Amino acid sequence: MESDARYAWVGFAVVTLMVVLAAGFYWLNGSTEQDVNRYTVYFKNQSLEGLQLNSDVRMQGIKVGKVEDYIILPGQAKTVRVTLEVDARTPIWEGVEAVVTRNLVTGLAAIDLDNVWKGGSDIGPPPEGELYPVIDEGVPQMTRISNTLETLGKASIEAVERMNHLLSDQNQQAINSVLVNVAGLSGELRGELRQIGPELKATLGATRQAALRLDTVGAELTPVLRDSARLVRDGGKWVEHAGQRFDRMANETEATLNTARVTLSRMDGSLRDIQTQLKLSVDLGMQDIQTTAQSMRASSDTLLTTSQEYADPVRLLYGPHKAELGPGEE
Amino acid sequence: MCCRYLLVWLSALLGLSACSLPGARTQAIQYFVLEAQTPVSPVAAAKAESPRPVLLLRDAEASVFTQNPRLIFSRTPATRAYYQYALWTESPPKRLHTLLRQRLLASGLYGGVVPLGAGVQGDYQLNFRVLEFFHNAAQTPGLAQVRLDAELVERGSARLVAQQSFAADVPLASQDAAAAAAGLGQASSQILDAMLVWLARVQPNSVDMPQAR
Repeated sequence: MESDARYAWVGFAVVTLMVVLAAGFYWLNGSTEQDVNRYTVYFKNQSLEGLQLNSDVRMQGIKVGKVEDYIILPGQAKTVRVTLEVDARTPIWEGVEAVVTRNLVTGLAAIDLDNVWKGGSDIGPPPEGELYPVIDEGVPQMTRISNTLETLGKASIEAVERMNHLLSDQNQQAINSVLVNVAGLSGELRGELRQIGPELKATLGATRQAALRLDTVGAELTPVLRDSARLVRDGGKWVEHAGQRFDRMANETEATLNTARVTLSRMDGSLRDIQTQLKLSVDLGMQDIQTTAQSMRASSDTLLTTSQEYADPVRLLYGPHKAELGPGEE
Repeated sequence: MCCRYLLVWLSALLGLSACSLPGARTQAIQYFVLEAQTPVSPVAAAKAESPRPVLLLRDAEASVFTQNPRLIFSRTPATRAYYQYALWTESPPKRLHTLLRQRLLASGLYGGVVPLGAGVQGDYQLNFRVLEFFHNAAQTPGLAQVRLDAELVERGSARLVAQQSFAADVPLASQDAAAAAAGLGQASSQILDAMLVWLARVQPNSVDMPQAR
């Protein structure tokens, strides 16, 4: 009687298990096709290295589907058509973009979908000639950064070229020659003044002496004396005019030299500022490099440790050996 | 679909193989926080009229073994092993970096103490490496042993200002993980105090901004 009852229980359990198994298979069969939507993406600019069938399709970092199929289009060596299978509950808007992201350690790639706001309407039916709705190819973050860096690099090169041009040998020679000419001009003026000054002074002295002599001649020669006095006055005025002109020229020369000195001083200040900025950038860059290198070392060390731990599966399954237990551990 | 069938069969096989696995652990895993007591007599920074220097604190260097969050012990010389059921909430080198930064900030020795790579230009840089951080269980109940190297560098001229080794041994109350964690915390506290005293001695109190930067 007891053995009959046990057989009945065993039979009941086997039948129940089979029913559960069959229900499981039915559930798996019935829940596949209806809950997903398919989309097509044409990748032209991004590498699909690391992308495989069943690779993840993510949105906001959450897995929402998988890669169902991909093919390089015949006759278009740089265009790859990828078919995505996405959970039907996932909102796919018009203007959605797909970018390929790659895990730096494993090299495995996935596709990230980014819903770009263009009114929030659904992507709609497939275009003519397409089996599924088409999702646009986006631009990966790394590409954006590299483009920015490239632009920055070009701008830097241009700035350096302009600076080089500004400080070119030709310009330096020109500035030197200008300064030399200005210095020469002031020297010549000074020399001229030095040469002409005594002569003018001597002329003035002689004229004054002549006037004095003429004054002593007497009243009978008054008309002649009047003429001579006029001559002395005119000569004095001419000398005074010449002196004023030379003074003006000397002042202008001095102002030109002052302007040149201020310009050079400003250039010196600007170069010093550039030097300070460069030093600051290099210092901060070096800090980043140091910390990045240290982080990479730490990551590789962690990977090494983890791989060593996983190298002993017996330990993982059955726990540590008694001899490995620490003080006070049982 | 084929994959799903395979998954079902694999699950069934795994279910059967589960019968051969051992039962649950008999001991719970404990997580310890490395706590360093606050210094009894904090280092008082001399008041300087000129601006105080900014210190960049580099992440602690340590061996791969020490970077693991498990507590380390040693029963025989020149060997190390991990406690199996005792872990730190944070690996000791990282935690020491945090504690040291907190103490340096509180000491007032510097105008600022920031981690290296925080986008700040500093006057000095402090590098340190953890050489030993374990429970020496060769004798009962054993010692908490910590060894550390540090060097102070002037960044403007890349000049080594000073370097020093620090060591602390603290006897434990009992031979288990909890006592080891407490002892290592005390030893860390002693070493951090010694580092502050050393820095106060070798570090210039003020900095001439244009020259040092």
